[in-house]
Amino acid sequence: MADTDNKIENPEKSIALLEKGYQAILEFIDQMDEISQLQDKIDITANINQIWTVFLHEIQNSIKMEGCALFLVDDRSHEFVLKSASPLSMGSVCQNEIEHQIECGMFSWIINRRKPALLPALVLKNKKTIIMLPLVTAKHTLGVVLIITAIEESAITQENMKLLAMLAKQCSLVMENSLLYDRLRNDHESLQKAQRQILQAEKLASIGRLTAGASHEILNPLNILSGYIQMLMLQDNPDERTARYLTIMSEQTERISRIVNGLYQFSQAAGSNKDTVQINALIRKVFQLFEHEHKYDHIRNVMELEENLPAIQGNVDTLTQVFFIMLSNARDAMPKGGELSISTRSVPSENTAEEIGNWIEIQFRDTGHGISEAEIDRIFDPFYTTKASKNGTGLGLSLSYGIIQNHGGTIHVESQVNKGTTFTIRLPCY
Amino acid sequence: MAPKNLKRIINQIDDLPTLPRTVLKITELVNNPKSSARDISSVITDDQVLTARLLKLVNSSFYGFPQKISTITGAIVLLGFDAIRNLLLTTSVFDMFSSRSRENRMIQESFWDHSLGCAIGAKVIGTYLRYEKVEELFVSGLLHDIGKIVEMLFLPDDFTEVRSVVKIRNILMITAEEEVLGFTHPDVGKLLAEKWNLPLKLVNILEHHHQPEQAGRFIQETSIIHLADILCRAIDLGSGGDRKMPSLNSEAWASLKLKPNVLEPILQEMEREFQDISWVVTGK
Repeated sequence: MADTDNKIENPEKSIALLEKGYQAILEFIDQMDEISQLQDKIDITANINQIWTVFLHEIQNSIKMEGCALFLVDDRSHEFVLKSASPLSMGSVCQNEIEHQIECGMFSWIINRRKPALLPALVLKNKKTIIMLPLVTAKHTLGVVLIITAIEESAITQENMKLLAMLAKQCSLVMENSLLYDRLRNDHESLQKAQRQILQAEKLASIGRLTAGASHEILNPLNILSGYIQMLMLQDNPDERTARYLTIMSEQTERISRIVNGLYQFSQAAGSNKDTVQINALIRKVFQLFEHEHKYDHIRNVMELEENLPAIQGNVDTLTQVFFIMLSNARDAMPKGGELSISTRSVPSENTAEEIGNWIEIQFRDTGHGISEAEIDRIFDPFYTTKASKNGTGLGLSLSYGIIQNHGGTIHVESQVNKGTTFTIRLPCY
Repeated sequence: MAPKNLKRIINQIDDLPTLPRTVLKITELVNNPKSSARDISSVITDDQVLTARLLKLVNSSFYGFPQKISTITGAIVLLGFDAIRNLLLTTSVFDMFSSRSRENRMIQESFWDHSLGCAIGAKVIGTYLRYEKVEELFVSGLLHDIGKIVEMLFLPDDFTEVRSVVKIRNILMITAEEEVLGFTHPDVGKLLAEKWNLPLKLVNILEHHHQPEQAGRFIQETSIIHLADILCRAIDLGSGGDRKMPSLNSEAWASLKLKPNVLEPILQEMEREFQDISWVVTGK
């Protein structure tokens, strides 16, 4: 059998065939060109959903399909998680199909091969063909796209597969870029946050040193002053005006001493000795201090304390102080009534790289007047207060901040004006 | 260079080994993007021997497929169109190594082992580098020394002389070829690959596997074959007809960006796969 047969046999037919093939290649190049420009359509700041919308559209253009689902590898669990399905109703079917494919080993085979492939359907019936597009880059496996089509397996053309392969590659690159960008932004933000915290801590420390010295210097003359006031008050028959003035003087010296004492405590917040503390019990105790005060009757209290919380190592006195500050702040924020909810729960450590131990999260949520954006950055600053009443020393929150930091914990605030404020305290259990 | 001698080969070119028509037809079909899996499978299934060999290869440990693939269409859509073309090439190349004369059988068998070893080496290295088309590397490895086979079959006297020069002076085959023939097995390999209408990449790999730095944009692929060639000599898989080790081209090594500590696992993997696969391809 000479292989020259087909060359002479029918030249016109051969030329026609070649011509057809040539046209097909030109068309294919056009499509490739279009795909290669896809990246320009997507901004680096686009999130995965926006990227997926663009690619889904392109996939729909390149093959007739009945459904399509995107699975992405979860950062933490390293499992493939369904992110999107079109139409939405296909989601569970695709999920089911993927699970079966994983079980029989096909899934990992295709992921490892890193190329699009057609699969015999395991769950889907009625002659559906499944195309799996692994989303991979040189270093990472990002996920997989599942396409369900009614096109018969044997009618799939090379063009179909090549275009899908190119789309998958582009999609992976764009997604990886976006993920890297996200990670970078998160890192940047956490660095900024750390920097802010350091600044805050430094500010507190220097004020602490200052106040420790100053408060002592103030308290001495203040005691002398207050002693003479007492003596004057003990005198017989003072006239009414003198008595009134002395009372005012006595009240005001007491106020000065309260402020200075606050300052002193603030500077002493560090270095307190620690005991085993049951957070729930402590919160209930602090809460009871308020209960008999009828001026808070218009506020509804909700307690959601998780049972069997692990104990923490902490200082009962300073923590009591923090909870007291949290409760009174929340109530002061709701002069017209509202709801105060206190919840505790155990949460996993924020930084998995470090100790895996549990943390306790305590939330104080009020429905009060909230804190404006301009104010929220300054609320932990010492002497910053918005309270017009004479009760505000502006030290409560900065004191709390220092105490919680001292316990190795964190304190965060979230607030919306006229909606309410939530303080979240997290303490490590070690 | 003595073009006169190379011309002698070219004059005999019509007698050069041919690829089965099926493979040529498939190559044509694969070049057309509109070809469907059905188009290709219908050509393959016309040839029962080829069909059986292909399915055997697809179901071998080469792919480590979790389930049995029982149809050619299934194989095409799972592995891809290019992969199938390269697999067909793989199965057909073996016939060209099979002996025509008793005296050459020994050397042909050791050539075959060397080629298969190099093919496996190329595939293993490619897998390490996460290269996309490992079948292409495999078939390149299989074909890299095809020029020697052509010399043996078509210039038997010259070939014997080359062999004796190699033996006496313990030099590389390619050096001896240059002296005796004035051309080398990469030159011949290139000619054959062009005649077979093989993709440009394959032609380049065959031509430059001793000097990968000259392979232009195919430097990575050519370097993989170059390294695989050396590695399978290192673990003594077959023989390339000489007993000297070609020196590792530094540009080739640099282009691969491999760490030296991966060589050990690569060698182990090569030895293991060689045991697994040689029976599948040869049908023994």
